[in-house]
Amino acid sequence: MSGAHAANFTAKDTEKENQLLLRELDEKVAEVCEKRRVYPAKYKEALEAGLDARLEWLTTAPVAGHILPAPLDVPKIVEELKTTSDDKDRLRARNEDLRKEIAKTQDELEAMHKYKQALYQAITGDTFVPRTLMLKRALLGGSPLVRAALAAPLSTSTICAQAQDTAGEKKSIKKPTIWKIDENVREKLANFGRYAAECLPKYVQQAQFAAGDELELLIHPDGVIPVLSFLKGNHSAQFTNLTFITCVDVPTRKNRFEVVYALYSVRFNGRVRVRTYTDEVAPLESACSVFAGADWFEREVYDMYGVWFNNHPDLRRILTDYGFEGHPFRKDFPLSGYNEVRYDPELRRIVYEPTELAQEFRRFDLETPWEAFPNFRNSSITSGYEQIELKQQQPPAQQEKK
Amino acid sequence: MAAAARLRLLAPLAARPQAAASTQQQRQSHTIWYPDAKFERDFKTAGMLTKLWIPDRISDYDKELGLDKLNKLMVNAPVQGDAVQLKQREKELENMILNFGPQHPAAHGVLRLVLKLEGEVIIKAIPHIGLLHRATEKLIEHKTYTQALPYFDRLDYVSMMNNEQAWSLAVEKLLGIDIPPRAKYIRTLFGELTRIQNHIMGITTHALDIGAMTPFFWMFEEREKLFEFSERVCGARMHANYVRPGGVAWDLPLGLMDDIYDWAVKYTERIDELEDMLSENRIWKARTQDVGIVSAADALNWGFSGVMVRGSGIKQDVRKTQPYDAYGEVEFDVPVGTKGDCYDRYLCRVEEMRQSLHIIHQCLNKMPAGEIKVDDHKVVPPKRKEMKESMESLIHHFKFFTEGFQVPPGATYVPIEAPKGEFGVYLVADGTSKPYRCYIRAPGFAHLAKIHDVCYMSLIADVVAVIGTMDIVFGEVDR
Repeated sequence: MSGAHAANFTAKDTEKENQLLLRELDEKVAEVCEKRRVYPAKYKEALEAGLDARLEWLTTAPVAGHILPAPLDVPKIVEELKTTSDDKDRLRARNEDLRKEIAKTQDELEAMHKYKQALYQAITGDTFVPRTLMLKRALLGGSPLVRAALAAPLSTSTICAQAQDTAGEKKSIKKPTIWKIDENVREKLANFGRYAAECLPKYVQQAQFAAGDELELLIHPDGVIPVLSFLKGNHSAQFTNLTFITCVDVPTRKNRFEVVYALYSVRFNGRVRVRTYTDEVAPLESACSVFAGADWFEREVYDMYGVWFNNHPDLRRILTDYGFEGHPFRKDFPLSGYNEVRYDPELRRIVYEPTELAQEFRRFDLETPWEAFPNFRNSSITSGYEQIELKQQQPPAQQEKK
Repeated sequence: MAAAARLRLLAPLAARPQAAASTQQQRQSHTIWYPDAKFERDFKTAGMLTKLWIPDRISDYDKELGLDKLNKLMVNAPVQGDAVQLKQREKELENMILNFGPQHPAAHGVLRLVLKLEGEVIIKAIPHIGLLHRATEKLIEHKTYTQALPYFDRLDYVSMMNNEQAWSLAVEKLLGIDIPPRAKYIRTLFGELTRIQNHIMGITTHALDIGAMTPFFWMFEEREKLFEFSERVCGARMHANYVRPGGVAWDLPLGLMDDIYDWAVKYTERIDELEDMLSENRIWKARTQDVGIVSAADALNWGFSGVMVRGSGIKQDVRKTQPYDAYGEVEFDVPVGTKGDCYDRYLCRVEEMRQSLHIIHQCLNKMPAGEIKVDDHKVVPPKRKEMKESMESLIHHFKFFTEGFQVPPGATYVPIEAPKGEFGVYLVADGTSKPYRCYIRAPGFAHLAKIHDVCYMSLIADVVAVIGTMDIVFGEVDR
């Protein structure tokens, strides 16, 4: 026993009792430490040194916060240990109290979160999910988001891929393996699609959703420059970032090539695709006057498909070989091509020869004899889109995808 | 005699450097000589490339001969012979055209960059690409969705699992399925490991091109360790074929997460070593600061993405704006630069590596238990044990590996934040088991398109720095 605590003990004959209780305490501490694998400072050495050192530590150790929440008050502990009958009840009651405290703090946090959400919603009209640091900083920084909300039909600056409304949550719990689509994003994009169609009625023929929540505007080929510059310049659109320009070949149509422009708005975090059509000879206007980065994308479309772009600064082949003839990605161009290249050791250079395959190219017909998608029986790649009602004001009619 | 000659050669050695210095100083004063009046006079009257001898001083005797009048006549009214075919007086100067050819250690793959130089300054940079064009998109149209997956490993061949993630996400979106949380966390974990791999490759080869050879050797050992993790999880060091539509192919083997943890706690020190070598190095700073500056408006206009726009100050990161997999549930920061030069982008990449480590730690801590594939066996093959015991599984297995799963018609574009930028797949499906069109949006394609605008009026050495900072890998540029 150390001298500092000696004064607290009443009589010498209770010292032995105290010793025994201390040893009990020591065992308990050792057990807890072993279970949690965390040892307070100097306790480990005390462990190895022996029982006396441990008892010494128990009486003199500083606060070991993660095992013993309070400084060891030896007499009190001894008192508590004496009353062993209602020990377990007391501990249980203490646990309950602690749990209630934790629940209270968690409730407080939830309430604070909800309050923040409601506040943000009141200010901006958006639902706010403060999960990303960027948005947190923006909120702390102040006004741009507020301005955005007041200005635009499209303000999708706070997007989280998970749906937030309760109906969505219930659906997502019932069907956990369905790809989740944020309804707010959909609604805002639908509004913007309608707005764009109203602004450019001459060119925009249809607005639709592809794959649930991707806005697509189908336009007339004359409208490439007006629509792209509208999307880039309009204040409530601001699609300043060009993502890609590509082409899809559907040889069964009269206008077999479908050119797709994909844009991204940094300001509103929104994506849109613009699709036009053309055939083998009719040219499209080059988007280089609107987006300077369009040149290589259009060169690739020209090289691979043969779509000509007017007023392009430098429209020539980009990916194919220097003397290549033909447009390879067209559906009627064979996969193995027409010419092959090999090194001729006699001429000591590479030579071009017509393709000769040792085995003919086998295309297996793997189509299942049973119909896979009866809903899409009549239309193949033109289906899977949900049109946005342009005339009326109510939210878009949703067809079943499957 | 010879010794004397050598001595004579050696004697003015002390004087030589000074002479050389003076001529060098003369050269360094950037005087470009243009034809002056005397030159014009001398060459004016000559149809061929010879010089006409017109003496400077004319004596009285010459004057009596009439030589001064003759000289005046020759200078003022030149007469050409009939055989003269060359242009006189005006000589056309052409700028040097240098082929920074497809086989070049600093050309990062197969880049043929034709440079038009005015001295050492670049006035035109025309990249010729297509030397690695393999018609991936056309080949994918002839393969099923599962067979098309390994193509994505080989696109950006230094960040494999990220490309596969893009394809898997696109297919899953069209199928309308959502994968189990464990699969999401595994994908995120390996996505970030791949991001570190890619940044190691990008930064150290950039440094190697600029001249700093050491980080390359140090960091490639770390890359070997990452390859080992890849091999343990899927069997292949590089081209993993692991992240598949419907989840991931196999579960993590026992002990892998512990080993990844061990590696990750030590990797911070490796990044510190890399930064010690490069970040405060005045040679590095001199080579990369104010080089390849891209303004924010230009970056967006030109279709840049990823570090190229973040280095210019725009907060754009697909992991934050359109979170996919488990990125919505892990906390991480996205570094953003200020000036838009190579140095800022280098610092962004280094900090991104640290943030990737943070994400990796969170994934390791939060890895949920559970399955790693969707349980729909129309989309995902059943386990072999099940296949050998259950008739249904056998049929599913057979149909999956022969015909493949059908994807309902539709089109989607799913972007991911690949280490190089925004990598995305525009997938058009038509209801059969083969995609109808698959366009691969590669970030390097848009970046390389504007190398002329970025490098105009910089030096050849700066072009090397810019190519390195754009992190060009030809697998994805050419596809």
